Amino acid sequence: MNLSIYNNYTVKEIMFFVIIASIPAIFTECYFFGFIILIQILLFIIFSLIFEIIILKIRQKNIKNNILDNSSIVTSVLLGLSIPCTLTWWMIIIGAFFSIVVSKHLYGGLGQNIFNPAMIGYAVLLISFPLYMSSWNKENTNLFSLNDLKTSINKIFFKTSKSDFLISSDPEDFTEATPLNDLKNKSYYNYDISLKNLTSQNKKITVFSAYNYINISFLLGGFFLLYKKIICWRIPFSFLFSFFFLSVINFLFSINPIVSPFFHLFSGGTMICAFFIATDPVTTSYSNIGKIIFGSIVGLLVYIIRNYSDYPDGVAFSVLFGNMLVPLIDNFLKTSGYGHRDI
Amino acid sequence: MKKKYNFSGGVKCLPINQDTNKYIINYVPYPTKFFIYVKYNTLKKNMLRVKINQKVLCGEPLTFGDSSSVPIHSPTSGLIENVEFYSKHVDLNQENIKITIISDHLEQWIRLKKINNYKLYSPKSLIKIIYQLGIVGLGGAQFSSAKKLILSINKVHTLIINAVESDPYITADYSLMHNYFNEIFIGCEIISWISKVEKILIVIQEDKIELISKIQLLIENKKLFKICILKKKYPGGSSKIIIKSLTGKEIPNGKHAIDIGYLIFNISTVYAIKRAVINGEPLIHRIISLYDYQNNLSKNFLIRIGTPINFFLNYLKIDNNLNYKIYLGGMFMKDLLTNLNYSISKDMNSILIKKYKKKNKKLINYSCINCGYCVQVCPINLLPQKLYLYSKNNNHKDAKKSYIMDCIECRICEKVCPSNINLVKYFKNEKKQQNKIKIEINQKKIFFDLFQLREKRILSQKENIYKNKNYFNHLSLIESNILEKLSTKKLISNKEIEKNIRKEILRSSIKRVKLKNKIL
Repeated sequence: MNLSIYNNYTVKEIMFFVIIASIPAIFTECYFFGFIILIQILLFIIFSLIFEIIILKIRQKNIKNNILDNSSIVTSVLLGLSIPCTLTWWMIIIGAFFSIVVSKHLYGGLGQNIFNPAMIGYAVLLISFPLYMSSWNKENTNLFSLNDLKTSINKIFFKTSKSDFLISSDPEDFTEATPLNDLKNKSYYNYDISLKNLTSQNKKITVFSAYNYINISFLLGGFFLLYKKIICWRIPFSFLFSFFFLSVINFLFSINPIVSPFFHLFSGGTMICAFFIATDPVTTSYSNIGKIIFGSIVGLLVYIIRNYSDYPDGVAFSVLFGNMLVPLIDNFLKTSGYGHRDI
Repeated sequence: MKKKYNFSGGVKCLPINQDTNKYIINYVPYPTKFFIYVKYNTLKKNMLRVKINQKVLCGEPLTFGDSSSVPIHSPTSGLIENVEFYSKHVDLNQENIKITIISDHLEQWIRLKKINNYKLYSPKSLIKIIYQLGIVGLGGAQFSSAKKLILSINKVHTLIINAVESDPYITADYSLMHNYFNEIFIGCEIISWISKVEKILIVIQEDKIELISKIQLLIENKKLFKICILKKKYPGGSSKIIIKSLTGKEIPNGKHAIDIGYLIFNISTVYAIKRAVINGEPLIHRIISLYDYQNNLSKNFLIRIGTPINFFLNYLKIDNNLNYKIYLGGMFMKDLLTNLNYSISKDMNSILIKKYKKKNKKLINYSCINCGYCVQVCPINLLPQKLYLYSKNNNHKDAKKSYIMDCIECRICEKVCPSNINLVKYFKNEKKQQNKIKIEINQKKIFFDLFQLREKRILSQKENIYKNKNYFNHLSLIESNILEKLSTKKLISNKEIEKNIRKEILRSSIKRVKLKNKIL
C-alpha cells in the first residue's frame, strides 16, 4: 500500500532523530572541555540501561521491546550534555538512578511520568553536590590528543580526595557552571560591570565564547528537528519570545542594567531548554494553545530565577514547575465533541 | 480562483492516475445463483412475499416494506431455491435471512411504469414511487430515502449533493459523474421539485479539474446550481464534516441534518432516483470500484446486487488463493472478508485486494507518549489519547464525558500514531460497554417506576381500610377483628359472616370468663 501520510514516524525513530540532532552540541562541548564529556555520556548510557533492565525484571515486563524505544538513551545524552565536566563516576550513578528509576519507572513507565526525567536527575545532583555541579574545567585543554584522554579518565575514576581538587583551583578563578553567577555576584558589590572588564582575564574568554558556540550548535539541532516536524514550533517560539521580551524590558528600564538581552539568549542552557527539554511530548500539554501557555510560563520563570534568585541558571527548576502545571492547563482547555456547543 | 472549502484535521494522501478510471465496465455475466441477504431486524416487521419453488420475474419485490424499511427486488427471473436463516460473519448473534435464486437466463422483466413528465404528479405520489422501488442511501448507511424526503418537505432550503469520496482510492462516484451527468441533473430537479429547494450545491474535491470545468459550463445558465470545491483530504465524505466545512455550523447532537435546513444526498442515490422515477426501474444495479494494488489502478463495474464475490473474481481471473487477502471497503475503513460466497449488497462501495506477506515486520506496540498527533488529525475535535486511557482503565464516566459516542471510526488516529496502538479497537469495545450501561440505566428506571406504582397501590388500599374503619366506628360498633375482615374481603358470603360473628361472641365470652377467674 502506498499510503503517504506526513509525520508517520514510530517512537523509536523519533527518539533516534533527537539523538542525531544533539551530535553537533556534543562535538562543540568536546572541543571546549575535552574528552571527559564523551566518557560521561557513555557512563550515563551504560548505567541507565543497567538500571532499566533491573527494574523491568522487577516489574515483569518485556525487556526487549521496552529498551528498543531508545528513550532512556535520550535522557542520558541530555543529562550528560547539561552537567559540568567535574563529576566523578559515583555521582553519575546517583543521577542515572534518580532519572530512570524514580522519575520514570516508579510513576509507571514511559508515557506516564509527570516530570521530565533528565531534569529530575539534574536537580537532584544540583541540590546534593552544589560544589561539584558549580565548577568546570579550569585549563582549556587541546582536543584530539591522547594525553587529554588519560587525564580525563584519571579525573573521573581515580580522583582520590576532595583536597586535590580544591587546592589546584584558586578562589578567584573559581566560577559557576555558567558565567552568569559571576555577573550576579559582582552586581551586588557595585563593581564596574561591563563585558570588557570580565573578558580581560584569559579564563573568561573561553567561557563566554564556549557557551555562545554551544548554544548555537543546539539551535542548529533544533532547526533540524523542526525541519523533520518532530517537535512543534509553538513551545520554543513562545519560550524564547517571552524570555527575550522580558529581558529587553529589563535592559531598557531597570536602574542598573546588567547585560544585553542577546547575551541572555546565548548563555547558560536556554537553547537546550527551548529545543530539547521543554519540547518533551510526555510532560507537555497536547493542545496548541496549551503548548503556547506552557512555553511562556517556562520563559517567565527562567527570567525570574536568573535575575532575582540565588541560582544562576534556572532552567531545571522552571521546567519542573511548568510540568506541574500541565494537567491543570489540559483540564481547562478541553475541546468539545461534535455538535455539543449551544447554538 | 474560486474559494476552496476546508475542514480542520484530516490527512493528505498521494493522488492516483485517474485517466483510466473514467469508464464503467457495463458487462459482467450473470451467475447461475444469486444470494440476497435480508436483515432480521427489518424482517421482523415485514413479511416475505415469496415461497420456495416459486417463479420470479426480474424486478419483482421479494418482501413487503414498512415505515422504516424498503422492499427488496429480485435481480433476475428464475426459481427461488431456498429461504434460510444465516448468520453474518461479523456478528454471530444477529440472524439474517438468505434467499437464493436460480436464474433461467431469460431476463423477463415485469411491466415498468415510465413517466415522461414528472410535474404532472404530486410530490407525495412521487415519494410513494421512490419507496416502492426500494431506494436507500447508497453512501453507506442504508437510510431509506423516501423517509428522508417526507421529513424534508417545507423544512429545507438547500440541497447538498455529495460527490466526495471518503476513501482516497475509490473512484466510483467520479466515473458516474463523468458518464451520466445529464441524468444526474434531471435527478436533482426531481428532488428540488419534491421538497421545494432554493439552492443546489454540488460538492467536489479539488483534484478533479476536468469535471469541474465541464460542470461549470453546464451550470452557467441555471440559477439553482452552484459548485463548491473541497480540499483533497481524508475523510471528507461523511455528512457531518461536509456541513461543517461548507457552512461552519454543526449538527446538534441527536438530530439530523434536516433540522438545520440542509438535505444531503449521495450522487449515486440521485442517479437511482432518476432511474426509478422516469424509467421505472427498481434498484438492482450498483457501481463498485475494485482496487488492485499491484497495478495501482482502480476499475469500476456495474454489477447486479446479489452476485457472489467469488464468481465476480473468477470472471476477472484474479487469484483468490490463500496468498491474497480480500477486503470490503476502502483503504482506511476496511473489513476482512472471510466468506467468499457473500454477495454484493446495497451498502457496499468497493473491493480491495492485497497480497498476503509472510515476512511482515513485527509491529511493536509501544506505550502512548502523549505526542498529540492524533488530536491534531481528528476531524471532530475528540481527544483519542485520553479516550484510549479511559477505555483501557474501564473509566466509563470520563469516557462518556469526553463524548466517545461521537466517534465516526475513520481510523486516521490509528494510522498517524507513532507507537502503533490500534485505537479504534478500544473505542469499539468501549462503545459496546456504554450501550450496555445505557440499557441497564433504562431497566433501572422502569423497575423504579413499577416499584413506585406498587407503593401507591398499597397506600391507597391502606387508606381505604382506614376510611372504612372510621365509618364503622361512626356507627358505634364494637371494635373487633370481624369488621376489618369485612372491609377487606367483601366477597365473603353472609353465612360465613354470621358464623364468624357467633364464633367471635363465643371467644369474647370465654375471655371474659377467664379474666373473671383471674381476678377472683
